[in-house]
Amino acid sequence: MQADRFYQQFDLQRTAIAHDIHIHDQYAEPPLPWFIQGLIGLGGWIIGLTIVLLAIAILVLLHGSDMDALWPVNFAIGTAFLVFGWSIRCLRMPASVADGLAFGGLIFAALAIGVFAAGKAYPALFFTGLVLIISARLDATLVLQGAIAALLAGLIAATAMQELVIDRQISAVAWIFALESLAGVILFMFPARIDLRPLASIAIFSAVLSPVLAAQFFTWTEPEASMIAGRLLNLSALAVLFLTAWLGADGTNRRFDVLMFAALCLPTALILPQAGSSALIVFVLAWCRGSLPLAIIGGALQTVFVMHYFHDQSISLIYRAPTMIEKAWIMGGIGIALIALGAMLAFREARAEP
Amino acid sequence: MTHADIGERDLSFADLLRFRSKGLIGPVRFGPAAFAIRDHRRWAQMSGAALLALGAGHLVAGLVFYGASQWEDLSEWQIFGILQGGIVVLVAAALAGGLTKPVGQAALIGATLMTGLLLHIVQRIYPSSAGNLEFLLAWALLVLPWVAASRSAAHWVVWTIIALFLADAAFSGYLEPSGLVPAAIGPFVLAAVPGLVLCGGEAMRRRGATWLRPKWPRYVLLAPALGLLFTALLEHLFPDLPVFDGAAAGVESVIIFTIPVLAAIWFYRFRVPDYAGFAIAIAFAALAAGAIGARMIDGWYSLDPLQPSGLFGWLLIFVWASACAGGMAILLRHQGYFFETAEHHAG
Repeated sequence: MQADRFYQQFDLQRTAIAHDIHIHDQYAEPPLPWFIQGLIGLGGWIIGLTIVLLAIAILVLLHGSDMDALWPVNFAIGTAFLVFGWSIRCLRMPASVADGLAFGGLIFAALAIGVFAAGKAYPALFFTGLVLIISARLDATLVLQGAIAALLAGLIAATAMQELVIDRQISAVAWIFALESLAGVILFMFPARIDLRPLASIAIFSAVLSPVLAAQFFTWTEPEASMIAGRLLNLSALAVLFLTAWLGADGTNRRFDVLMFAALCLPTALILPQAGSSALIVFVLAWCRGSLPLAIIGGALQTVFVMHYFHDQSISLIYRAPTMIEKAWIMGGIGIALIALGAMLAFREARAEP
Repeated sequence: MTHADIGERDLSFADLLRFRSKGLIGPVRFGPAAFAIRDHRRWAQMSGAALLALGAGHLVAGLVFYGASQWEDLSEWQIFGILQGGIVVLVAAALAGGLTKPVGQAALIGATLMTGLLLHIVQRIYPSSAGNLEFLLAWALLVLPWVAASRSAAHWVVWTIIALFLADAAFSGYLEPSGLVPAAIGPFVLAAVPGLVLCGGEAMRRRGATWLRPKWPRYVLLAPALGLLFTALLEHLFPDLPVFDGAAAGVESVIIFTIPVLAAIWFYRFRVPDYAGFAIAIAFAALAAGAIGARMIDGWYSLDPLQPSGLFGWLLIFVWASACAGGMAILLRHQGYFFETAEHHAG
């Protein structure tokens, strides 16, 4: 979309935005390719993490391997590395080295108050959540934010397993994952001024993957109404996405596309188990945001889900696990609907050719 | 650039993020704006193709689920009718859509995969003395004409994966048990498969095969080829690690790893400048340097962290690992301008 049309459609301050574009186009340096940035960043992370590992080796040498008794010392050392990593970004140190130091320190500190001190995951969970908030406020790099968010998601899953699944409060786990999906979608579509895309991505991906991974350890066969509620939360995330797309669509044709997508995806999300509807959210999010990497990830997650669905015992809307023949009809029906929508989009686009 | 020119400039998502970070657009308008600025035509084409592919995947999954639920009740005629009918339909679709067109190429890849399924079912229904090796050999040979006809890099990658399984079956099921070749050269045999396909592809590309223009197959073949050679090198350096079976090759694994890595670095730096190919080769070189250094330090010190000498050994390993990683990062960063210019000239 051209800048002039953009100002008009969204009724924005033309002069300020034009000035920002002018400054950016004049002074922005072309970035290195992403894979080179990744490898260079990896090098820096290895340096940062090895420094933290070295400190741990010295600690073991000085105090022996009884880490439980020394948890306050370990926590203090980990936190010191975290703060040091945050601080040295001001110097001419590559950001990835500082990130490696900070993340290594965070893991050590989280281990100290979680595993060594309490033997539970939730103290580490609260500490990591606090560090994530401070990191975002300090404008940490997106890679560090993503790493901390991934650690947080892992700790949420561990806490859910430790505290809830043992007591068979499986519905609460389903709620947590669905809330993660919804939170991720809201962070993506209504972002704060701080760039929180890594946190939003991790929230959505962990919501998709956690039920699939959790199903390796237990089966969700109980007809609990609140599990349906978890699925309804996913539906509301999809509804948010379609609503924003509807508001951004600038013509009848685009709105028709949004309606067609919604007419296909909302019933599909209702029929599929929670992991399936969460994977669908990633795909629809990619479509709304125009993000190719997200679309590839969404397609891959949907494929993982279909492979998992063969053995899945999750309850369906009929309050029992579907039989294999019912699954076949569900998959076949969704397949035909997807092909029909894809063919319709291709046909409409071919007709629109000049 | 004047403000009038700026008005005609297409906005990107990165622009939108910048506007948001500076408070020029509010959170409520951000989502609709993200939808509005995307390239609608491109996304209609891509989402159409993606939905067709996902739909086909779900439909096939539905058929598999149906087959699984009805398996006991289906006769052999019905089973083979469905599978062979599927292959005939896919090949007919490829002929109708054009063998070298995307639709035809996708249909031929589907036919290749379905042939494997058919051979697997034949193996299950009619157990014979033929083993995995014969099954994979038949699969690789039968589909080769389709692979050649489709002129699709993706199809060649699929065939390479089949050939990789075939090489593994030939080695572990025949060559190694019969004593024809020692167990230690297994990774070299496997690495040769993607390596040879990559060399063939590069030779054809230099002879002007335009259908080999996409670069991603190069990386998909280069990374596992070097990865398998690196595994052999690691097995030689650290034979006591529990992940290895103890059948390590000798010092030749260092030479066999070094030659292809140096060749890849030279080729993608000087002959066909490709930043990603060069980066993959440099990354494996850095990994190998790190592993060789760690092995040497392991020989000098006990590496027991409770002993001062062991701690010093770990310190050396950390420093060496950091040096390798940092050296790789500095080298790659300094080559940026060269590759940007070279790839720009190459178009």
